[in-house]
Amino acid sequence: MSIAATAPAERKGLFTAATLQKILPFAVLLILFSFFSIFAPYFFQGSNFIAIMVATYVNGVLACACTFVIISGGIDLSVGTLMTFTAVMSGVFITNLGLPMPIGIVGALLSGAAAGALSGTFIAKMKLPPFIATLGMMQMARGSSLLIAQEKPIYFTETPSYTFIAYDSTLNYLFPALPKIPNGVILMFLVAIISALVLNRTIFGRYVFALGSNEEAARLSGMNVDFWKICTYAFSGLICGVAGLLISSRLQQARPDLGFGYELEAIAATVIGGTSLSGGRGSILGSIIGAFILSVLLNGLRIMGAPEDYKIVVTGAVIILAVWVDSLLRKRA
Amino acid sequence: MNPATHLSHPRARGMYPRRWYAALAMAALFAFALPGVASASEGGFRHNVLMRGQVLEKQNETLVVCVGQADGAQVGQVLDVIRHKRGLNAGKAVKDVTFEVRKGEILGFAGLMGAGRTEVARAIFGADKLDSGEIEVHGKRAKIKTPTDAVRLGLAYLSEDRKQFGIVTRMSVRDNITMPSWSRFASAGFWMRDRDLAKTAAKYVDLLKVKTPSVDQETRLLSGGNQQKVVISKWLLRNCDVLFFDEPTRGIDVGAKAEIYRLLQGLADEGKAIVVISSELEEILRLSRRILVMCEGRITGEIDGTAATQEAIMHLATQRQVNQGQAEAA
Repeated sequence: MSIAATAPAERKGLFTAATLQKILPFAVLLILFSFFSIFAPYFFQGSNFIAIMVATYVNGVLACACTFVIISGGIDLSVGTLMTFTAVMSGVFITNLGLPMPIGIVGALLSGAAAGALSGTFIAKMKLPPFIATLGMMQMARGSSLLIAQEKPIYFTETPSYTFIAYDSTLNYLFPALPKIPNGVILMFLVAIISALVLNRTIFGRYVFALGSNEEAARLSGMNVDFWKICTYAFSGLICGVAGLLISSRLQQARPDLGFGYELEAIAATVIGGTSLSGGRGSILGSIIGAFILSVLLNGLRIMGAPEDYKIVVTGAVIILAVWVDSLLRKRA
Repeated sequence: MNPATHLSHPRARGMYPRRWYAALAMAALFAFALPGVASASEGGFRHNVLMRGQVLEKQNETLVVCVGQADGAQVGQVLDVIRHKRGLNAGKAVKDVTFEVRKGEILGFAGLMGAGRTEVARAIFGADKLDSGEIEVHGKRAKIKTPTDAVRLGLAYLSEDRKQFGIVTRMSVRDNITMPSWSRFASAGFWMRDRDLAKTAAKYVDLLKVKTPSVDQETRLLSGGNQQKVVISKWLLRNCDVLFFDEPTRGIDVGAKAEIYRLLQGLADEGKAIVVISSELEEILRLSRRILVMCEGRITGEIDGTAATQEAIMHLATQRQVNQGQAEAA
């Protein structure tokens, strides 16, 4: 029968678009790393590696949140301010209300998830475009953070153990021989592993991919599109909650004015990591690597003495390059 | 070839509660913002169980009834209409469409392009909004608001636009075949058992002779006929009772066409109710036991499958309401 003959054979080999897309972020990170190791003095040092990781962890966690939403075919502009919102909520629960820390932490995470679910509801039930809905959520979260905190930082001075979440180094405490890697870094990798498992091994992750690949076909297969969309944004909000805990633990205070611009960095990391902005394709590992690419770039340029404004230009150029390469590869696929 | 014999395992249908437990747990987690979803899931669960109990006992019962109330003259005991559906395309509508499909029969829907046949199927399946009218499944009034409801009731719709609505082209054959049944393959309603998925998908690939190097192949790389078989497999696996085939052989070569015809006949013999929407008259004549002809959103006649001729169908298919003369001209 002619059917077998008409089915195009899948291109095999190292340089298919799919494989290229997977190894490209690795390669870029490796090249940047080697470049700075050779040309930037003091770059190749243990303490600098830790500095890079510390500079990455908040963005890495936010990138995980973005990855889910972008794979589902949407976009989440509210991750930065949701992070601030949960940080403030954590401050309210722990410092202002004096609740025990575990309850405060869970409460903060849940408020992040609830805010995410709210923007998910705007998108799924009110059929708003994700860009607009999360833009609105971004401002709403920012405004309510400022309102709740009364425009002042909330300090965690009464609960010194709050630093445990991100600032302390349990690794170093347990094994004094190991370098002082803060818990925040460990937590980022933990969030990444859990997110990757959820994305690749659960029914929720499968639906996220289906939503981004062909929402209508998924709907006509009996999928409860609205429910899973809301879940996607709620999960994103939950991960933003983790980022909020991290940043407030690192600073020992919940600053309501923070969080602007974080969403763009997180989206940049996601896109650089090979997640397609049109949905349906992407990985958590890629996004983490994307976050590292950004911070290695910034760190290296700073060591080489480039002026601060220069770095912002380079970051923008990298984003454009990443999206351009993505569209090139998509055409080849 | 009688694929359906191997397919219906009795436990398959009872597996839904798990998924709803997961849904309820999720809803509890995000209780703030999700009251609507939670209540929807409870309702659906109850629905599902009621519907199931009845099917298996009776023979030859009516599976889907859409009884019309055309111009006040009632047909059947329940008044059901799909009336004045706001169409997908401007100026198109479904008006007073009434029909029933029985177990084990193939019902053909004939008509010209744009007669409203696809719209009828989509409206019943919950893909488009139903303005008025009622649908009965297994003798019970069914509330179908979304495709999720329809699938839960055992309805399946195979779209004419396979690539856009039938398959997720970028996902693997495995994921496409199992998509409507994913919840069955989730341990604790959450963790996917990928090995089971692959095994089940491979079983259906063998059964329907889908030509693919492996179940991990991206579905877009398959030929049209094989993609259609993937779509059919996914509804067979889901164990649907009523299948709407919209242009089942569009863009499919002759060999695969014959295979799909045999498959449809086999499914009907197994006791499924099948609705075939087709613009190819030979196809309709070859497959259907009864043929309904539509024109401009109305059913203009019913013809017995054995006695039908192309001329009779064409006569009804061009029977416009305002201008009867045109029918004669055709």
